[in-house]
Amino acid sequence: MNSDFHYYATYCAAVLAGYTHDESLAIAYSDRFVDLCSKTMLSKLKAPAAAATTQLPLEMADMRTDIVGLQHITRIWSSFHFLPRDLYAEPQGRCSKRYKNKYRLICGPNGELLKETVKLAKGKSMQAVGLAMHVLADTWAHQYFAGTPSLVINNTNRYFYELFPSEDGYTEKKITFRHSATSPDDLDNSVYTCSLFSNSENSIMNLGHGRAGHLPDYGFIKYKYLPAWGNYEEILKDNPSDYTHAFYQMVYAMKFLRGAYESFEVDTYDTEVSEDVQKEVNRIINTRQLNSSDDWKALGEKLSGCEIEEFDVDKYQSEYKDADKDKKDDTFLGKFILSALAQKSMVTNKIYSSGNKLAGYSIDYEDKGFKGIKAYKSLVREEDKV
Amino acid sequence: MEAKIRRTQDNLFVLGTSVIAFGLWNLIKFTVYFFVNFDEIIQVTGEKSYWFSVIFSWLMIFISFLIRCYVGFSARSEGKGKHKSVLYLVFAGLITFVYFLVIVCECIYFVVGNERIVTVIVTLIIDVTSLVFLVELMVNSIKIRKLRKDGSK
Repeated sequence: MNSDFHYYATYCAAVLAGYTHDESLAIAYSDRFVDLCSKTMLSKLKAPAAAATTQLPLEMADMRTDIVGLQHITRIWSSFHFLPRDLYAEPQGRCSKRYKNKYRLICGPNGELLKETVKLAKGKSMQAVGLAMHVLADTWAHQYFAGTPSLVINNTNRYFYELFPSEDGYTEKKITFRHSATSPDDLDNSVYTCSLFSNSENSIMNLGHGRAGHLPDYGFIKYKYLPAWGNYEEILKDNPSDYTHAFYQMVYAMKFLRGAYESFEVDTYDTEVSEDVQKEVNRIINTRQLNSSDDWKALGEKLSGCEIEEFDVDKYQSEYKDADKDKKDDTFLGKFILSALAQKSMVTNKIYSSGNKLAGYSIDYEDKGFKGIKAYKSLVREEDKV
Repeated sequence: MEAKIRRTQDNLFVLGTSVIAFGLWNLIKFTVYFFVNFDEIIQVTGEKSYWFSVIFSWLMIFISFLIRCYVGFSARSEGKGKHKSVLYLVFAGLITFVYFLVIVCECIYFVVGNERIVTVIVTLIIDVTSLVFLVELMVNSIKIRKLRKDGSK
């Protein structure tokens, strides 16, 4: 998802779910922060590097793609941006275990892991809610891609067509990809930036939706393409529909987290909003623009009656840095870090338990006694507090 | 059906490229052979017929390469979705037949001859691979035409 959806749209969904303005801001901030909390930032804050929820391009350029490096990459991207839909999925036809493990990491909405992600945030901080909403939203936008570098899963080819509604249904326009990180995408001529082709299976170029550029993150776009895993079957990606589902599922999820519903079920959406709001959400999602921040912000301010401050990545950093060692977990970023560790721990454990070692090893510390990364001890302390 | 057509087109594109690549390899192989075995060629052809042999050989190799390029590029074009005439398949069939005969001769030489065994084996492997690609190209081309015909029904 784009930054506008992760911040302002989440704010709108939080308000519709019944959260106050301040709570909604905290949720929205945490949602947006998932895309910024890198190892570099955490080292600046002297915070646990294991809590990284993303990797900067420079960090990824430095990453080794040996088995350990790949597991590290997969842990981050699968936990926060490409939550696997079905860890026990069976690909069509015969395949190697290695391929099957990668196939099973393909992201998609309404999976069991999504249920676990939302339930993990129940009774926890606003930061945990925000993080869960980020993961939820990305399951819609990033579906059909996997959070592990893999040519055979994430690659695409020249067959990429944008679909424009017309009288007879849809007209197709071929999408042209270029490799220019600095030039903005050209919506009028359907020219978009994507990652370079690399025939190395584990190249960083083949991580996530890099080969499709930013197309999955634009709410307005509808397109069809051939994913490498798809066996030449065409995939139709209807982002307006997906984003609308993501929005109303966030409302439902946050209502569950507030206690309005007893359980969280997948494939359930809360559309109990006024027709005006529905129309406005629909209009914003379908508007053909690179950034819809202003529109979402206007809607959010209309819903809450309060001004939404601009996102400031430095806002809570001094609070964390200046806090005493034993008080860091109680700061805004401290709570975010705990939520990130919990999410990463849960997802890695689920992937490992399914017999898939692509995200590395995972130990149930309750069963085996504590072994592992020092940073995760804070999760044990949290459990003890509860 | 659409997926089958796409897969077959993709195969055809790759096979077309491989046919061109093998044609290029033949050209390089002959050039290297010509320069390395310069004296041997003169010995076999005799000095008077030398230039005729050289020019004739080069002409044949070059024509073969051009035919391969025609077959390869037509296959690639058909692999991209354009309709091509059957002519390139006829040429592909001719090259396949010639290759088959060449391979048979190489097999006989392998059995009977005692010199340069390693060279013969490597040449055999490459030629068999080239033959397989040509056969696959024809099979995929016919398959695509059949699928398109079934699709239009």
